[in-house]
Amino acid sequence: MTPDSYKRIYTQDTPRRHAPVASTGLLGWLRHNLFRSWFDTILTLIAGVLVVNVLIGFLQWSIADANWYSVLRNLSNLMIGSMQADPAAIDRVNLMTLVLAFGIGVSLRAWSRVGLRGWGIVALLAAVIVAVPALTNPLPKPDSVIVTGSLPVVSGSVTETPINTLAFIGGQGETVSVRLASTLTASDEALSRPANFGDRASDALFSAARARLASQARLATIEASLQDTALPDNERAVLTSERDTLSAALEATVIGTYRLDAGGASVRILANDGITLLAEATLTTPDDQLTFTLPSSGWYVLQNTATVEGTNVLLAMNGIYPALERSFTRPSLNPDGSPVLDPRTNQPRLVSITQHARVTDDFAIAEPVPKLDGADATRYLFVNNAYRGSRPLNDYLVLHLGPFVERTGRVLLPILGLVALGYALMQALDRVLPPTPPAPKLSRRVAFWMWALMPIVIYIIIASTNPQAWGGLFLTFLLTAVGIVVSFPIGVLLALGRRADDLPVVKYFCILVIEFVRGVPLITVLFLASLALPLVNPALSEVPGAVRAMVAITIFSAAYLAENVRGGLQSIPPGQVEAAKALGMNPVQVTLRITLPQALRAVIPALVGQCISLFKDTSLVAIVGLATYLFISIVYFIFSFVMAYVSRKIEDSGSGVARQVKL
Amino acid sequence: MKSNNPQDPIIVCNKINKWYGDFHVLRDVSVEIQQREVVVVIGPSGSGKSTFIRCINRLEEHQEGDIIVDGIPLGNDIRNIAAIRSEIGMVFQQFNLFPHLTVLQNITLAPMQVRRQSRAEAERKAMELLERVRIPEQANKYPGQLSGGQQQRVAIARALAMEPKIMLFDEPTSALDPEMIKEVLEVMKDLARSGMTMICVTHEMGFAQEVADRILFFDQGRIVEEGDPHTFFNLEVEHHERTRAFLDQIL
Ligand SMILES: Nc1ncnc2c1ncn2[C@@H]1O[C@H](COP(=O)(O)OP(=O)(O)O)[C@@H](O)[C@H]1O
Ligand SMILES: [Mg+2]
Repeated sequence: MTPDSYKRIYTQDTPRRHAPVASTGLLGWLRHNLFRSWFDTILTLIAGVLVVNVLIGFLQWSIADANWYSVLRNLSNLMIGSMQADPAAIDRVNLMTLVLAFGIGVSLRAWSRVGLRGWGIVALLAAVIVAVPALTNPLPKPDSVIVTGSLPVVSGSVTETPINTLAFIGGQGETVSVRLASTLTASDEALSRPANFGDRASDALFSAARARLASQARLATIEASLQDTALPDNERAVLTSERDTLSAALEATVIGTYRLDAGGASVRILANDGITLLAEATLTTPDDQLTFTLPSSGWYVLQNTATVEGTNVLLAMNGIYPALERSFTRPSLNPDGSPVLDPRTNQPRLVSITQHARVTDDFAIAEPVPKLDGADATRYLFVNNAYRGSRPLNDYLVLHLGPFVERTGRVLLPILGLVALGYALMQALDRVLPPTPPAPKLSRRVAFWMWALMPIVIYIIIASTNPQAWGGLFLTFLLTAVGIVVSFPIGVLLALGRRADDLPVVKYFCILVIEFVRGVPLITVLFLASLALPLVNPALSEVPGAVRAMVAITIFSAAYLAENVRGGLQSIPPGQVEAAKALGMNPVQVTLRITLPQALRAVIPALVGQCISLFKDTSLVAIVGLATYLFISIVYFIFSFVMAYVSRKIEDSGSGVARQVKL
Repeated sequence: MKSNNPQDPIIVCNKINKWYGDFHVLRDVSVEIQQREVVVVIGPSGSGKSTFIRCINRLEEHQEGDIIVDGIPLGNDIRNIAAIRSEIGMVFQQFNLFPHLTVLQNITLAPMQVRRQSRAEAERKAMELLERVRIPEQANKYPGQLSGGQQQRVAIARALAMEPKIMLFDEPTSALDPEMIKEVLEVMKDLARSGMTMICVTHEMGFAQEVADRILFFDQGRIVEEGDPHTFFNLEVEHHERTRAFLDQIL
């Protein structure tokens, strides 16, 4: 027996190698997360099919059907509500937004780092914002079609009268043209598949054409069934009678019934006085066209003096689009821009203004509607002239996507610019005056003081605007910001108070406040603030509603925050306090330096969750339409996402505990 | 009244009694500790060792008896408590470093907050102490990034930064892996040699034999035996029955 039976020395080295390809990178991620086992694979495939289906359905809906006009034309309403009526208020909100954007740029540099990839994404975004409208603007816009003439169109139980006089809005230098809608009137088939803005009478025509095609199809099936010799006699009788009724009804085409084929039109464009003739033309062939370039922005009147009595004409108009009517109340302004005060109440005197805004773009005018024979002319309004038919991609691009990107770009580009500016300035600052470690970067100091002063700056900016007019996302944002900023110290104090076992009075007061507020829904607190408080003390009704809501929301969120913070305080091991005490720190120092900083870090996810729900709670979303709602959700999502992102950043920073457990 | 006479004891405990609820945890504990003395407290688990040393800096409140530290009586007077705490440093079994602060900030916090030192001065002092506990390169790390032995050395530096006259150690090596125990004990031995007054609760008998001036043996809330380490660990001499039982187990 040799002794090496129990002792071995291994000298052969196994060289280090790279991990197998399939376990790293994209492939590794896919395998690890989506195709780990056959069960995972099946789930992934099912989910994939579902997601693709939903996406396709959503895209089809959003391109072909969704009504995005209400989002597009009400963007400023969604953002700032009735403040939009006051140009000075708009300026102030814009200024506030830009200041905040600058602040975000500064903070990005101070606490984080935007790499080449980040700036690439920003540049790409800017490029898209510039490129999309540039590409979509030259695309042809869809026509508007209206029925003119003297034969009413019957659809089901309603009768739609053709329009012979139509007041429309347009901008200086725009060219409008009017033709016969000859492609649509070529056949009932063509008439049944519109893709235009159409008025009610034309819509009735389209449905009639569709109904007739359906009847024709039915007739064909009946004929086929009747060929079958095995058909029982009683059924044959029923089918025969249905066939006779149908074929009698189908004798005349829709085009023939409403005499769309009978003759041409004589159209003219009048100025907004309804008298001055600007242009006229007789349209008899598909090539005839009335073309006119508008000399100034405002109202115009289009008239058809039908050539043949007892006929209709379907007119296709290009460059003429329906308008939305919108009204605001706003403070009446002196020539110097200051509000006119009511001498009795000392409140700004309000005036009401009415605007007409074109649905296809941002063009809007405040001029009154033209009068014809002493009455308002029939206006070309969106309510009566919806988009008819299924929208082709071209129309989606030119009516929705292009204008939307252009509109948001006007807001986003300056914001992106200021973010970049703030970042660049701070980068330069850190370059010129580099910190000596362990002192923090100079940009951090700047960012810290900037945010500390931000509430004051914002207050100065918006103080002069009228709180009665605050609305939209701006109001939500303001309420949330104030709610969070003000409720934070209150909530922390309540939490500390609730833990102060040595001060029973303070302790039970805090418990009472916290539990009372947490016990009622926010809506109740808001209700109390807005309705009940003024009853208690009439002087309170002088306080604007928005401010009262702010107070309510602040108290509400402070109570929830207090409980979150208390949870955090409880999670801190007693050894921390003992160590701090043993070092001679007094209770205030222990709280401010040791327990609170740790407690707050520990409850960041809960606090952010609370901020997000506060942000959502502060607005009662009136559902204007699914599209509007979707748009709002996206905005909400972005804000919530940013909050969550910031939370992760703070969690990652500074806490050794978090570092240790992070994989 | 501060005593400057080096002959006077720096800590005097006279018949201290303490209860947790109705549980009598310290019973007539009396001891005098001289300046520059190193006292090691040993005894079975649950015998009241931690409670005893925590009473000395008032992390626990005793109900009867007197504790006088450096001439200051420890009572309910908040100013006295603060004064005594700033003269006593303490090191815990679980380190109790502040996880949200870097090593340097852990050490400089109390000197800046309590002693009102300037940041520059506190940091200079902190770096010196980190040299002394042999981890100057870890200054800007967070506690979570250090090994247990390194953390405990930071904790010692943190306590020393307040320039205490007395250091209390409550089982400073019990939560450490064997190879880290040594590095912490080395630092404690250095400290003992430099003349610091120390009270150490520890199970490191080698350390006790090497540096202790005196051993206090606790059992069921009482000091049942005390003596110099040589005699104490000598099984030949006469011992209290509890001491003998304890020594039989560990030696
Ligand atoms: N906060 C407390 N409340 C009640 N009993 C305690 C408390 N702390 C310690 N004790 C009890 O007091 C006794 C002494 O504890 P301790 O001083 O920690 O012992 P040692 O440090 O010697 O192991 C033990 O029986 C322990 O269970
Ligand atoms: Mg103990």
